[in-house]
Amino acid sequence: MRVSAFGNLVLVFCIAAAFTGILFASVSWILVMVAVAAVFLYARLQFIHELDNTDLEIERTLLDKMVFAEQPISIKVQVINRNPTPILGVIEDVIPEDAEVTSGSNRMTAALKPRTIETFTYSLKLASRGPNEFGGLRIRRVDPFGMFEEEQVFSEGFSVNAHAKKGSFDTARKIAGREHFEYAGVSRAPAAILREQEFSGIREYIPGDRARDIYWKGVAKTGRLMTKTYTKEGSLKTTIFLDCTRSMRLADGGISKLDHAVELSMQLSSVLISSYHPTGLSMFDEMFILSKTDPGLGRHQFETIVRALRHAPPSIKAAGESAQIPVPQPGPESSAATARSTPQNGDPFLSAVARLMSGGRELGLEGTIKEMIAKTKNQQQLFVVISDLGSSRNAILATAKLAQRSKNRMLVIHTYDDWYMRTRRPLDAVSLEQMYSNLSGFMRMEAALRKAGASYMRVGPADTASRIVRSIRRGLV
Amino acid sequence: MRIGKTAKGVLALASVAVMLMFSEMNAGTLLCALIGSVLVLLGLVSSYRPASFAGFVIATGSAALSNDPGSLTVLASWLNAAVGLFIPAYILAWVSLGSGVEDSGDFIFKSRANAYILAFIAACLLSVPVAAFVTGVFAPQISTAASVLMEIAIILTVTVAGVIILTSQRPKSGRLED
Repeated sequence: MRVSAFGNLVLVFCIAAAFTGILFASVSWILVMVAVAAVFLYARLQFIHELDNTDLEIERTLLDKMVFAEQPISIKVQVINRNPTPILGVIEDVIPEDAEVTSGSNRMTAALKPRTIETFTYSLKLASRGPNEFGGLRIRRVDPFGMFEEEQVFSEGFSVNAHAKKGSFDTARKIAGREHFEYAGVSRAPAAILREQEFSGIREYIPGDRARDIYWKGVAKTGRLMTKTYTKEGSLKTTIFLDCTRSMRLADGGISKLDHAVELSMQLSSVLISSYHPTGLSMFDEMFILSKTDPGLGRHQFETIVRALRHAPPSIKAAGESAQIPVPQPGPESSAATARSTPQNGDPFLSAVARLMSGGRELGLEGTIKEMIAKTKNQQQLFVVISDLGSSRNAILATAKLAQRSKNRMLVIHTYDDWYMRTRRPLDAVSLEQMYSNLSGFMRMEAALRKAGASYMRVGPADTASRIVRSIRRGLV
Repeated sequence: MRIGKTAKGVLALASVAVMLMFSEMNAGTLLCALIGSVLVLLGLVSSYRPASFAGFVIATGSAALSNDPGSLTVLASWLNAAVGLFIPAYILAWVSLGSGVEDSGDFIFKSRANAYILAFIAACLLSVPVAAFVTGVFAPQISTAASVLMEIAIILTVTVAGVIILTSQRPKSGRLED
């Protein structure tokens, strides 16, 4: 509890009265001083009582149904004062640190009258995707005599889970309309997704062939019945695996790899679904599968994937010099100890993960893929893994080998760490050497993945699903 | 009980009137008391605390200048000091300092704060007679030689002790930020 400027003035008057009383040997001034001191004490005791017995009901309402990052949302705050005394001061709804108030104000200077309701509304922009924590309602209270101040925080904070930027949805929709992901295999269920049939060749007529498939023009030339054959363009059951490990979540000044991966997942799933490939999504971290959506088709499936992506863990801002700590040497045979880390970024946690993984245990990704393969025998699947090949690289390599053995396909989209760094620091010889070392390590990893039959693609923050799909179509991956 | 602005105004005027009755005011101090009471009322009406507090300082200052109760060991002087100066000054201070709020809510007589303050006031006002009595019992020669400055010292000591004790309380609830 602090004494306000006015309270200090009252105290100064008390001291002055006491000095006057001593100076003039007058009891009257001393009595005046005692009277003012008594009121000062009364104000303090009464304020403590009010603080201790504050009974507020706070209700926050989110006025928007859909919350997107960097889009204004409106919040209505309703405060009910159940006390017999007014609450004076500045009421502030504590917003997330990086959020920005766009209209209205999250503060209100008011006297909450006894047993009344006060309401205020404001709009703000949430800077980041994922859960955004609101810190409760802070009241900078002033006592009714204006001599004391105190800050109180009421109600538990609440969390608003924001989607990725609204622009990402538009981009995903545009890319889906423009790009087409082709699969030249034979579909097991072509009737459900009747598509154009591509001309394959001509062969001798076999009794039973449909009349419309007979190559009539050839009859005149050859005198024999020939049949045109077609290959149906099939659908490929695809699951996108999104790496949500700590190294993916680190945002070093710019966009975090996970934020970009979320956008890529959204775009890819949109392209795949619009190309009639049943698509699912799975998110995993160092230990577990965070969420899993089975492959499916249709608009609702895209919405399901978007809903799942909404629960992707938030990005972590790299603190200070963390970006200078080099990425451990990647490579197929290297230790699993991984990720740039600082004490602030959870060194003990990462070392614990490293210990766990060096024991040869791969949780999450590998187990899930094994389960998926077991469930859909004899049907080829595509596993798209978006990862920075940090702590999960051993699991990804093992999964690639598993996919090769089970004749499934795997595409590893590598969010290349050095391309996401945004920290402005001079590029010295040590950094260059580190970057070269990283690149050579990842090239070894790429070779190992290709050897295991997986396709590999390195992406940076500017890449979209368009580039990925085109590269696949051109056979560049 | 809710004490409105009118009631507060009446209390302020009554306090000034009591102070006038018990003091020997000349024209100057009378004018000061009147100006002070007008300022208190203006501050009260316009809910402007600084004006009200300035009025309080002027009014009580003039009363303190024109009312010299002398020794608090004499009952008549003690009653003069308590009824004619202390109680009106306390009420005037309460009214003027609390004038910054339009609606100060309910005033609860039977509150812990009121009980503590009554005890504090009693301790301060009775400190001199009690000290004189105790000294008279144990050292009668010293008690007769007690000066005004000694009385002031006793009151100040008790006041400071009371302030230290009562300000040691802290709010229990609420998450404090600082």
